[in-house]
Order: sequence, then C-alpha cells, then structure tokens
Amino acid sequence: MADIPQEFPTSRSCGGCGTGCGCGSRIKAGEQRVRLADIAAVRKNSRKDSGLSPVVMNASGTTIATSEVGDGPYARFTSEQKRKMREQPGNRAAHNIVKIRRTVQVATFILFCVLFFMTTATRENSYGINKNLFMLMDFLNTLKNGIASHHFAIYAIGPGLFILLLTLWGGRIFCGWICPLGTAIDISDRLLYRKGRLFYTKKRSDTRRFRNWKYIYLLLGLGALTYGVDILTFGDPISLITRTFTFCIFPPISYVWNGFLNVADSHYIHGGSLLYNLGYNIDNLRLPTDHYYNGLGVLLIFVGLIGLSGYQERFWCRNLCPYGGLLALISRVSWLRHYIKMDGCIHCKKCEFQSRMGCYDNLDKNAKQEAMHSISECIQCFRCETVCPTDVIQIQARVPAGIKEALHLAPSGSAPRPEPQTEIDLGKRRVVTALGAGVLWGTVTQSAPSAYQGSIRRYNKNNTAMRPPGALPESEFLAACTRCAECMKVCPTNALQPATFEFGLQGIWTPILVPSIGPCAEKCTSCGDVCPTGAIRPFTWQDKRYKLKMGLASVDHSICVAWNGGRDCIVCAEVCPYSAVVFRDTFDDTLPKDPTLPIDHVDATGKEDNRGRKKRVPTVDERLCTGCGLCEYHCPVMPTHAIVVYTYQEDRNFKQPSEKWDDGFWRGNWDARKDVGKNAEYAATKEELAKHIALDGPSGGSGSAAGAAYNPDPTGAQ
Amino acid sequence: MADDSKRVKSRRQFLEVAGGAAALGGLYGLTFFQSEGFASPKNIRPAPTPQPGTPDIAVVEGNPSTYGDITEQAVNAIGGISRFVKKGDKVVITPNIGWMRTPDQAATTHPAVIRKLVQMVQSAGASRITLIDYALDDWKLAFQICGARDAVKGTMASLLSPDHPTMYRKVSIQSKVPNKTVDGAEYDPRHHYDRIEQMLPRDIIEADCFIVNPVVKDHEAAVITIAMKKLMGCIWNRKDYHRYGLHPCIAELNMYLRPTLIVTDATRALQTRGPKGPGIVTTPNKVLAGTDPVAMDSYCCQFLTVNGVTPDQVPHLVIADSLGRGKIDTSGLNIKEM
Repeated sequence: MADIPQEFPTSRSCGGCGTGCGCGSRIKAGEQRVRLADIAAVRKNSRKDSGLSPVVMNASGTTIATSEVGDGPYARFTSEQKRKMREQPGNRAAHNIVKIRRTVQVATFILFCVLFFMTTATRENSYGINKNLFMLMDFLNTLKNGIASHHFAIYAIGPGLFILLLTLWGGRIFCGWICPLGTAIDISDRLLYRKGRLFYTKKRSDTRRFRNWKYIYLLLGLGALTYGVDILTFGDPISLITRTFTFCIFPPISYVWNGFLNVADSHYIHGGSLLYNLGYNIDNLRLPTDHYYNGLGVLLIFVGLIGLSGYQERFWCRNLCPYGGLLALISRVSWLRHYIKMDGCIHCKKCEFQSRMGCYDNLDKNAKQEAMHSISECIQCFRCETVCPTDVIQIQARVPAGIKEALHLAPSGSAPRPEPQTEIDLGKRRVVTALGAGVLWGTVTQSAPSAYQGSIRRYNKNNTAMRPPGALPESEFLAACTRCAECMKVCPTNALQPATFEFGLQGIWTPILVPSIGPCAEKCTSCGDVCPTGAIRPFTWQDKRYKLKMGLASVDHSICVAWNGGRDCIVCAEVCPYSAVVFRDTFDDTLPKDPTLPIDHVDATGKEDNRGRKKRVPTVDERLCTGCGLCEYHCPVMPTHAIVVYTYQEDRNFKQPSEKWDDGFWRGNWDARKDVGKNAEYAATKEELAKHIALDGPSGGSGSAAGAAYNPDPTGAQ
Repeated sequence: MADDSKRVKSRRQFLEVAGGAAALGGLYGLTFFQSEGFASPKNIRPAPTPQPGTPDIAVVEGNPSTYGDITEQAVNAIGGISRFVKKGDKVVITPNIGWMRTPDQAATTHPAVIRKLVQMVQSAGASRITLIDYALDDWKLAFQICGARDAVKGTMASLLSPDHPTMYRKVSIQSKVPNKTVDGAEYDPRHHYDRIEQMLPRDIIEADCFIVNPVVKDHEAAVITIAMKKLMGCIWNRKDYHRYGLHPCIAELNMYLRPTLIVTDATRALQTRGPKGPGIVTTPNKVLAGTDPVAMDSYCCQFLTVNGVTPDQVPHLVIADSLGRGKIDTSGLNIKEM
C-alpha cells in the first residue's frame, strides 16, 4: 500500500453507521485508517488507460469539474470538492436507515437469544410468547414439512405468512434485518474479518460464481422431499443456528457459569459453602448442565460457514442458504427497489465493492453491458445507498411501473423504472436436473422404506431408540423433523438426545429418548409444545398417561439384583409413577436359606435344610407401562440397566389438541385450552387402568378398602 | 507493510491482556484443585443425654384434629424443643415429603405434624430452617400434593429436594464405622472408599441441628422405613446401597449421621406396598419423640400390624444394635405413653 498517493483522501474512522462511508462523524483522534485506499489500489490499474474526463452530476444536479490527472476515482475532483463529498457522502436518510437496520438486527438477535434461554420446561416465564417464534418465521420449514409428511402445523402459519408478505413487499428484508444466523455472521465478520475496514473483497469477479448453489440446493431438497428425505434441514438457517446454540453454545456457557458459581461459593476450597453461611443461596442461579451427543458435526458446520465469510462477506447467505434462495425467488416481484440514476454515476464502484451480497454488476466505466442490480440477491442492507458519493442510488418502495401503467395511474413510460435486473441463471434444464437428482437422492437414502415390518411405514426401525411422546408415525416424523433441537433444549431431564445413525442416514440429529440419561418426566409436555413443525405433535399429560406408549419396560433376569441373587431392591417399583412395575414373590432353590451356611448344608438327619428361599422380583404390567424410562434411569445396575425400555407396543396415534392459525405469535391460555375434552376422552381408560393397579403387596392382605380410595391422578387438576 | 504496525502490541498492552487472561484462567482453574478431603457435618449438635425423669421415647395419642398438638406434647415430654434447638441454629428437618401421594395415603409425613414442628423450631430461635427430602417423584408436584408446601407457608422454612450433585459434599461414612461389633466379632463395613462414595447435602454439612421427622411405613425391600431408613432421603448415592446390600448400608449411615431429635409421625401407617403405596392404611393416631433411632424403629414396629413385623425381622435394626448405635430391646427403656 505504499504506492498510494498521499493526496488521496484517506477516509477517517466513522463509527456512526458502520458502513465506513467516511462521513466523518464521531472521529476518534489517532484513529485514521486507510480505507478507501483499498478501492484505489484496485481501481488504479483499470482506470489508468481510460483517458476520459467524465462530466458527472452530483446529487443536486450541478456539474462537477473534472481534473486532468487521473489517479484513483477521486483524483478528478479538486480537493475542495473532495472535502465536500466526504462530508456529505450521500443520503443522510440512508445513514439513519442503516442505524435502524443495525438496531433491529441486534434487537432481534437479543430477542432470539432471550427466547432461546427461555426455552425451558418451566413455564412460569413464558408470558404466552411463543418461544420458537423465529423457527416459525422460517416458512420453508412449514412448506417442506407439509410436502413431505402431509401434516401441516397450523399454528406455524402466522409468522410464516408475515415473512411471506414482508418479502413480497420488500425483498429479502428477513435475511438482512431479522435472521439471527445472518446477524451472527455479520457480528463475526465485524470482529474477525472486517475489523476497521470497509470490506474485504479483493476481487470483484468472485461474487457471482456460486450464487446458483442455493437454488440448486433448494431444488435438490424439494426433489428429495417427494420421498420424505429432508436434506434442506441441514442448511435451513434458523434450524441451524438453534441447533448450534443448543449443542455448542449453551453447554459451555452453563459449564463456565456454574464453575464460577462454585468458585464464588468456595465449594472447591474447603468443601463447605461460604455463601450459604453468609445467608445466600446461589442454587437458583445455576444453569442446567445439559450434555448432547454429536455436538461436533454441528460445531464444524457453524465454524465452517463463519470461516467462509473470510472469503466472501456473507458467503452462506449469498450462495448456500436454501431459505435465502426461496426468498430470493419471491423477492423478484417485490416493491422495494433500487432506483439508480445512471447518468449521475461517477463509476467509483463503491456500491459494487461494499454491497454486502455483491448485488451490483457492470459498474465499470468500460463495461460493455448495462449496469445491473440484482434484487434477488439484495438483502436491503442500505449500505450502497449510504456510501454512494453522488447519491444516485435511491431505495424506494413504489408501486411497480407496470402495474401503474396498466391501471392508467400514470402515462405509459413516465413512471420511474427500477434498476435493470440481473437474471437468475437457472434454466429449465438445470431445474429439471436438480429436481431429478433430488428425487434420486431421496430414493437411495430414505431409511423408512414402505415394506418395513410388513405393510405400513409406521414402525420404529430401532427397538432401543425411543421417540419422544407425540411423535408422528416414523416415516412422517423423519420427514417433518427439522433437527432444530428445541425439544432437546427444552427437555428438563436432558433425556432427548440427537440420534447418530440409529435411524440410518436420514435420521441423523433427530431426537431420541435415552432413559439412562434422563427419564420422561411424568407431567411434562414441553417437547410437544415447542416443536415448530409438528413432528412432535402437541400433547397433554393425559395423552401421555393413557394413550401414547413410547415403549415397554423389560426386566433382564440375568443382571437384575433381585432376580439374580435375591437381594432386596424395589427401586423400579418405587419410582414408577404408573404403578406398572409389580413385585411378586417367587421361590429360588439356588439361594441359601441361611446365608452364613453353605447351600448344601445337611442337618443332623442327613437332610438338606438350607436349599432355597423366597425372593421378591419385579415384573412389568404391560397395560400400565408407558415406557417413560423412570425405572431404567433409577435402576442401580449399571452401566447396562437391568430394566430397559424397548420400543415394543409403541403407539403414535392420538387426537392431538386443536390449534389456531395465530398460535404462532401468542399461545394465550394454551395449557388450559389444550386440555379441553381430554378428561371425557380418557374417562373410560382411566377407570379401566385403575382396575389393573395391584394394591396389595406380594405379602398379602385384602386391601380392597384402600383400593377404592386410590386415585390415579392425585393432583386433582382437571 | 503499513498494516503490520497495527498488529504489533506494545509491551504494556501485551502485559495487560496476558495478565487479565491469566487472572481469569487462574480463577477458573481453581475448580480443578478441589480438596481431596472429606467434609463432615461436624456442627450438628449430638442428641442430649436423657436427664433423669425424662423418658427416652414419648408416645402421645390423639385424633385427626389434634395431630399438631400431640406433636408439641411429645416433644415437650422429652424436655421441650429448647433442649435440642438453640438460638441462631441452622436447622435441617428431613420429613417424608418426596412422594406424589396425598396425606391420607400415608406415604408422607402429615402436614399438621410438619407445620407444628417447624413452628416450634422457629419459636426456639432457629436462624434458618430447611426441609430436605431428595424426592424420587417430580419434586414440585410431590411437595404440593403431599401438603408440605402449604404446611410451611407463612413460616421461615424452605423446602429443598437436592437433585443435583453440586448441592452435595463428599463425606467419609466409613470413618465412623467400627471394624468390630460390640460383641467383639469382625465387621466388614460396606462403606469402603473405593466401593461406595457418599455425599451429603451442603445444608446438612453446615447445619447445627438435624431433626428427622419420618412416617411409619412398610418397605418392600428394607422391611420397614422409619427413622433409620429415612436418612436415605438425604444422600446422593442411593444406587450403591441397593447394589451392596441395603441393610448394612443403612446401619452404617446411621453410625455417621446422628440426628439431634427424632419426631416420628405414626398418625397413619402404610401397611403394604411401601414406601410409596398405595396400600392398606391404618391410623394409630400417635406421634413419638425420641433421640435413639434404633429404639424408635424397634418400638414403632408394633404399628405395622398387617404384616406383623417384629424388630428381629429387620436386619438393619439388628446390625445397628450390634454396632452399638442404639438399643433394639426397648423393654429396658423409659417409655412414656400419654
């Protein structure tokens, strides 16, 4: 950079709006940095031989005198003109819009984080706000879920519709202003790559190279959806960031936070508790320490897409994001457009270099083709309007000229036309090829084949990996689950874990219930309430209690300490909330009656008197067991538990609580509303099950009086 | 290059950053130097020796409307609450409140007994009262259904189900378990360091007074669950007890953790399918107070009428008696029945 001419206007650190426009507000002393130098260095060679002395217009339409020496884009202007242009580098209103945009981005990101941290099973703090609001804004989820699983999540429609209308009006505002993944990328850009500079694209040519990948990915995914294989979920932005937060951001935060609490409590120093003795209780400040399998793959994807931003700003959003691709297709008809007065352009190419998504083409003075802007790539970041020194770019929401003229609201040809568009390079052949390849991918990777277990695709493929309660039938569940991991975040016992290959390639990162980590808590319905796609349908605790079987517990006689060895252990019966584990007496002739004597001890008459005694052993009543896994979790035989839940007899059919279309915004009174009618529905089942609950211990007693008093629902709620 | 000059930090900047990082890292690194030693509930006041004239066990009979009153009478009969709780004490009470069962199902301590006991402790000048039971059921629902949440309403007591290992401190049970019984026979403690690692709640480690408030129940594994078995409601590692034999472990735990006062709720007794029920319930309508858990359990066996349990049939009573924790034979004790 040593060859930069010193008279070149070195712009100063602005810090006002962050676009680095050089407007000079709030300059810190000693913070001068060469910023426009980057432009100059690139521009220098291309302009050397032009030999033109352009007559250009500034914003107010007055002619600007050009200087003789051509060295850099500004060298044609006098120093006085340059100073004025620096001070008033474009549209003041655009500066303010950029500030608003950044505020909105930060605010929505904070809202996302707050909603994420509020996604816990304790309902006290939810205030009826739907905690997966951002997931529901992602209507690609709703769409692909509906196509693949034939199950539409009614309540997901509201926020999705809002984003659809917003996109029809203003293009990809969602990407630039709302998307938490986009904001995360912007923040990391600012911290890691951009630092004080305006931009870091050294070459202009690379911006268009990979644009089509997102459309190809979208079409591939749509093709694969015909066979219920969902590959879009790996790139779906909100699923991706939620998954990353659950697996990779939240666990370290909780570990570090709890570690500092332990230090503050002097827990590790003298074994006692300093703060407890001082009268403080810090246990409420602790965060849940959750563990998840398979965090590494998720982390690598996230780190990779942050790393790609070092190559192009927002590489992910430009080239790979399937939801961005969908919004890009929709935004072709949007109203918020860039109106560019090309006759005032001085070809400084600031907009072309600084456009966050590389939207501008052919702005070179010598370009053979017409200068173009691509609205399908634009995320309405307003940076180009801000940095334009001559204010020829104006972003305005107008009724499209064609509509105006068709309705005779304006004479033909008089309405201002937006910029010429770069067409999406996506011909019929590519579309068909991509869709076909997607279908091929679907056929070869689906893991819930229709012939599995006889006739229908309803059965779980794996007999030990349980699905959460309320899960759709297996093939539909695999298609509908978007792997956002909200159910795993919300699970109060950390029981829901991402699957590895239990369900084949198709089932990676889908939730499975692992009772040895945590049981399915008795009255918890959080995973059904939080699922954004309805893959886990909302259910009530009555559904879980009386209808939805996740599996069936089974006792392994060879390792159970009661069966094998005759020790006194009744933990599984103690913990079972449904009284499904029943202990009975059995006689075991391999156990010594008196443990101090050998088993073949003979008495004075020569008769064996020590062989065999009574033992008390667990059995499972299959009518009462729901497969919640509490018995497996508490079983003292470790690491393989003696009572294990298998997916036998699992039941995934139930009448789910009705939803409203606007539940996505505000699920008011949801807990009471979803319980309506459930009592009547299950009254007969409840009565039937109460008959089977054994009230007497194995050691007898009539006990019929106590049996009449037994109430399987002691809370009395509902 | 001009840019390079920006990347070079001055020495002062470097020291600032490095010093800050080292301080943070060092502070957090303290977590890896946790003490190898064991905590111990050394502040818990031992049970006062019975004075001449006061009974070892006081038994008061009442009726369902006077459960609170008979609790106070029973404690007064053995010397009054001020003998056990001093002013400024941090008191831990461990009642049976860990089951989602209503009071009439007899799996939990009666709320009236809990409330009166908490009020007595509070009026004796306790600085903090914590009710601990490590619930197997969902603790929020359990505390609500068994009536404990309402029982402590308006008092200074707080309910706690210590369900996370960070709320516990490692203790050495085997340090208080003798190798020989009182008869001189060899005894092999189950709590060997590499066999069972045990932890007690931080609240008990820091407590000055420890009160056990059990309910009389049948237990399908441990035969009975009264004052001795109740201590399993406030330890972390319960799985190993089931694996290595319940009865010796209960007896050894009682050798280590010695309550200041025992108030047993025998107003109702769960006779079958204990400890959770539902099972047959009888109503002896009695509240007992004492300090010797073995004698207390031994005496309370008479309330379990349906199965007809005798103290000799309960192995953990026999082991605790042989280790010298208490007297299984209650015939020689001064028992006052009112």
